[in-house]
Order: sequence, then structure tokens, then C-alpha cells
Amino acid sequence: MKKVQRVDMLFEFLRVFLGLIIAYAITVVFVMIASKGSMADAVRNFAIGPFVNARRFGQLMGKFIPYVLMGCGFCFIYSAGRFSLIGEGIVNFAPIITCLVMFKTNLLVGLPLWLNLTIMVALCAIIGAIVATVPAFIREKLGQSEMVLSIIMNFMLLFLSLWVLKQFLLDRSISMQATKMYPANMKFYSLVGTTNFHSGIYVAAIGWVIALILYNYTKIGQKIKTVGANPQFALYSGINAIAAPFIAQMIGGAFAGAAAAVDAFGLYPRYQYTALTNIGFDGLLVAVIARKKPAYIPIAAFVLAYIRTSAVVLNLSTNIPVEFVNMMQAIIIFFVAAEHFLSKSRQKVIFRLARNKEQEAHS
Amino acid sequence: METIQSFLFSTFRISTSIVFVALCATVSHQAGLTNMAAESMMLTAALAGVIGSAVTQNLFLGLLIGAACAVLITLFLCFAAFVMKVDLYLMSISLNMALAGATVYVMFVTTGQKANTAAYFNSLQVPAFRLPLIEKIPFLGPVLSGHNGFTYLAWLMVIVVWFLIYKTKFGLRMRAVGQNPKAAESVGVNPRTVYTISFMLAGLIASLGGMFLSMGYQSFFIRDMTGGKGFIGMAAATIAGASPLASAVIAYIFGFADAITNYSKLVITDAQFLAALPYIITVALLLIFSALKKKAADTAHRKRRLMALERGEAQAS
Repeated sequence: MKKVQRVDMLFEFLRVFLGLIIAYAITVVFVMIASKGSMADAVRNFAIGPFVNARRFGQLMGKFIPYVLMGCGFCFIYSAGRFSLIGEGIVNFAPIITCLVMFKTNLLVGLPLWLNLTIMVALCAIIGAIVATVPAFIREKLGQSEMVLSIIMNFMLLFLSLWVLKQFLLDRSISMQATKMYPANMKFYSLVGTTNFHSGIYVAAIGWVIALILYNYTKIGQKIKTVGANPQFALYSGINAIAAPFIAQMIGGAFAGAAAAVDAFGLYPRYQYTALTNIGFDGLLVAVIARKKPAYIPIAAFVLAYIRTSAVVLNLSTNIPVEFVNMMQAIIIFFVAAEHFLSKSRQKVIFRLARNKEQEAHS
Repeated sequence: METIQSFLFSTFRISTSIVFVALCATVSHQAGLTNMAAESMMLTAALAGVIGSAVTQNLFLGLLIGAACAVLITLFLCFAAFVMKVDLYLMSISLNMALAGATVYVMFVTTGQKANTAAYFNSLQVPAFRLPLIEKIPFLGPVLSGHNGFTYLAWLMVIVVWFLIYKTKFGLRMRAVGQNPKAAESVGVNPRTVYTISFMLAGLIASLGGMFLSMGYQSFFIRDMTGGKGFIGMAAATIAGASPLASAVIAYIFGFADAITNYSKLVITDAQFLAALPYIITVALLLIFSALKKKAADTAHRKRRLMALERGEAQAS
């Protein structure tokens, strides 16, 4: 690797790292302002809360699993230069349709667990891919904003899911709005005791490998990246500039569906979403932190899962609302995605390198 | 008759914030970039307006504080996008997310509540006005008169935005930058300044839409009270091709869908389906409108090419 490339990579890393640190520091200040009791306690809860016992660490891993899948999906969408946020709605919508199959048909009854899980994840992924075609269609074929439509569709999917839940699947024997318990052969099992760390991690691992291969070693991955990086060039080099982003958004939808499956059938004993989950937006953030590279997705997903779990722990112990972490996400994006952040020092270093080389060549 | 009247009245009322956002999107769209962070500006203004008016007990000051906070958010967005070179849409998405959280956080720090400010802030409300002469018109009178001040401001704003875009020097610059930033730059117009000013204006207009929700429609702030309205307004503007008048009309059509939902409560009793209905209608309308627009654009394109061909043949012969 050339020296300049190494410097580039170092600065890329520094930007992400410093961005995270600064955002973290600012958030700690916010925690201190909002804490009514002991400040030190609040900060300690926020910093090491997720690691103090197995249950909380399980909670962290439970968030980590869908983040990996959602993040991988967003790598494709974001690489193609699109901002379809439909993943958010898919998380609510795909599992409820799968629940219809689960409770209203006999297709899955009596099948072994692994086969059922495969079918369920595949079904959710297919539903996700189909739903994602709508914003993709309006962008690529009709030339309107995919982001606006996808956000409006998220609300639509949320209420439609609630409608399906209430109309066809509601368990009337309990007070909350939820389906019946999932049958034992149709849900992910816990890997460590009774924690949230469940077998969906295998799905996440497989999904990650698929994303890696698809993104780095296939034609379509290359096309998506090219269209995103330079649409004009893509057009001139004969890449179908409509099909590539369209497929990218469908891949994103499929991954969102898989993320929905591991979240809905892994974390909860029944379908009980009554609001948007925010996993979709978090997936975008994961992709941003990973700089659109699927290889770094697990690290980014872990960082975000840690932050999110910290907020939940803090909320339980001090009543500070979970939502304040959303502010932190904006700060992270601000620093990590800012092309000008640290760009001057990077230029200086590269300039000095080049000059040294020149002097060596002269002498 | 009475039902139709009250139905149209509520259409105008519900559409108010959508019209503001549509105008906000129009202004930024004319300058070539879409202000996707309108939702965050609305939320900020809604909360800041409530707190401001409660603390100062002065309606005008409250409105000013709300608007100022929204403009501050806009300035941050501009700084991030135009100076630090963060992707504009990415920053907008994250700002929407951040302000949805930040408003809850601020509400918690100031009141200890996470749901709404109803019991804590004695905030002021913009009153409803009765239009003296129009009120007397049969049928139309009760539909047009008696609205909240914000609703009339929205109508006024349509004209103001139209005037700004088509009749002022800055409007001309804005459109020039919107069509071709490089060309505008070559004649000495700084696109970055134009973007920033148009975004600030857009933020100001969006803030009115937010404050309508918390200081006109309701008298307190509820978390996530915008509920996607910002994006519905934006959809209206993009379909209308950033013409202020057309965006307002389409915003009213979307508001109409909302009003239909309110009125079909009498027929459809399923609450979940009712909640989904305005969004289903919006998505359907959005698809239909954009398909129509695309078709019209295609036809125009074909006609132009045909004419050019004919002209070429005429010259050749």
C-alpha cells in the first residue's frame, strides 16, 4: 500500500474515532444536566451500564443483531446515493405478515425449528424487498424523492400493521396489544441463559457474509458503487443507471426484512410493536459510521448497540428519557460524515509526505 | 349543507401546517436544494414557541422565539452541509431524528414530563379571527371566516413567497442558482450565500407550520406532534414543481385527505384503519400525481423533438 493511501486510511479512522469521542463527551454533559440525583451515578450507569451483568449485555447483543443486518442493507442503498428509509416501516410490516402465515395457515406447523426460521427470515426478506420497490419505483421511474415517500410510507405501514394485528391476530386474553405467543418451533432461542442474546446472531453472521460478497466481489455490487460515486461516469460506461440503484434499494429492503425477522422473533415472545422501532434510522447511522463498507458493519453496529443500551439502562435507573440519545446520533453523523472535518491536517500531512519524497528523489 | 361547510372549514384548518411546509420546501427547492429537515424545524419552533410564550406571557415574543430557534437549527444545517460538507440529506435525516429526541429531552428537563406540556406551561394561543365582510357571504362565509390567525397567515404567505420568488432581485438570484449554480457563480452570485438565505427563509416558514400545531391547533406541545406532516408538505411541493401556488393547492388536497379521515369516523369505526387512511391516500395521490407529471413531461419532450425534426427536414428540403 502506498504511503498516501495509508495516511488516508488513518485519517478516515481518526475522523470516525474522534467523532464518536466528541459525540460521547457531549452526550455525557447532557446526561449530567438531566440527572436529578447523583451525577456520578448517572454517568457511570451510562458508561458501563451495559456491561455490568449478563442480562444487560444480552440486551446489547439483542440490539446488535438487527443492527448488523439493517446496516448491511443500508450500505447498498447509501452506496447507490439513495436515502430510502423504508426499513423503518418494514420492521413493523414484514413480521406481521409472517405472523399471518404463522397463525392462520398450517404451513409451518410440525416443521423443524431451523427450517421454520429459514422460511420466516426468507419470507420477511422477500416482503421487505417487495415493499422497498415502491420508493425505488417513484425515484427511478417517476423522478420523485424516494426519501419523502419512504417516510410517509413508514407511517402507513405502521398503522396498517396495527390494523392487521387488531383485525386478525389479536390475543384477547391479555391487556396489551399483541398476538398470541409464538409457537416453540417458530422463534429464535436464547443462547445464554434467559438473556436477549439469541440465535438470530447466526442469521446476522450469514447476512454479513452475503453482504460482504455481494458488495465487494460481484458485478452488481460494483455497479451500485459506481452509480453512487459518479452517476455520469456510470452512464457513459454503459451501466444501467436506473436498474442498479433500484436493485440496491431492493437489497436494502431484503436486509431490512431479515433484520425485522430477527428482532420480532428473537427479542419478543409475541408480536407487540405498537410504534415505529427506530431500527431503520439506526441502520443508516451504522452504515455511516462504517463508512458504507460492510466489512466494518459489525464494529459500528456494536458501538451503536452499546450507546442505545446505555440509554435504556440510564432511563431505567434515573428516568432520563431514552430519546436524548437521538441527539448524540446527529452529532456523530455531523463529525463522521463531514468531509471537511480534519481535512486540512490531512492535506498538510500528505503534502509533507510528497515533499519529503521529492527531496529524497533530488538528493 | 352544514356538514359540507364544516367539512371544508376543517380542511382549511388541517391543511394549514402542510401549506406552510409546502411553501418552505418551495423556497428551498427554487434554490435547487430541498430542505428535508422541515420536520425538525417545526418541532423546535412548536416547543420553543410554547415555552417562550409561557415564560414571557407575550404572544408576539413567543412566536419570535419559536421562529428564532428554528432558524438557528437551519443555520446549523447550513454550516454542516455547506461548510463542513456533510451530505445534506444525511444531515437532514439525522436532524429530524435529533430534534424529535431533543424536544422530548428539553421537555423532560423543564417540566419532568415526557408526553406533553399541557399541565406545566401556561402558554398563549394565536386567536381565531372573523373576517368582517366575507363572513356575510352565504355558504362561503362560514367556511372562510373564523379561522385561526395562522391559517390566514398561510394564505398571505403563498402570495409573499410568490412575490419573493418571481418579483424580487433575490428571487431571481435564487432561481438562477437553482437552475445552474456554476453559471450563477460566473456572474458573481455566491451560491452558498443564496442557499443559506433561502434555507433560513424556508426554516422561518416551516417554524410557522410548527407553531400552528402547538399554539393554534392545540395550546400545548405534544411529543412528535408533527407526525410526518413535514414530509407530506414536502411531497406537495415536489409534485407541484416548486410553484408556490400549485404547492399550496396540492397541500390542500392532502389536507382534504386528512379531513376525509376525520369525517369518516362516523362510518368506519376501526381506529387503526382510520389512522392509516390519510397516509394511504397520501401515498396513492403521490404515486398518481408523479405518474401524471412524468407522463406530461414525456409528452412535452416528444413534441419538442418532433418539432425539431420537422424543422430540420424543412431546412434540408
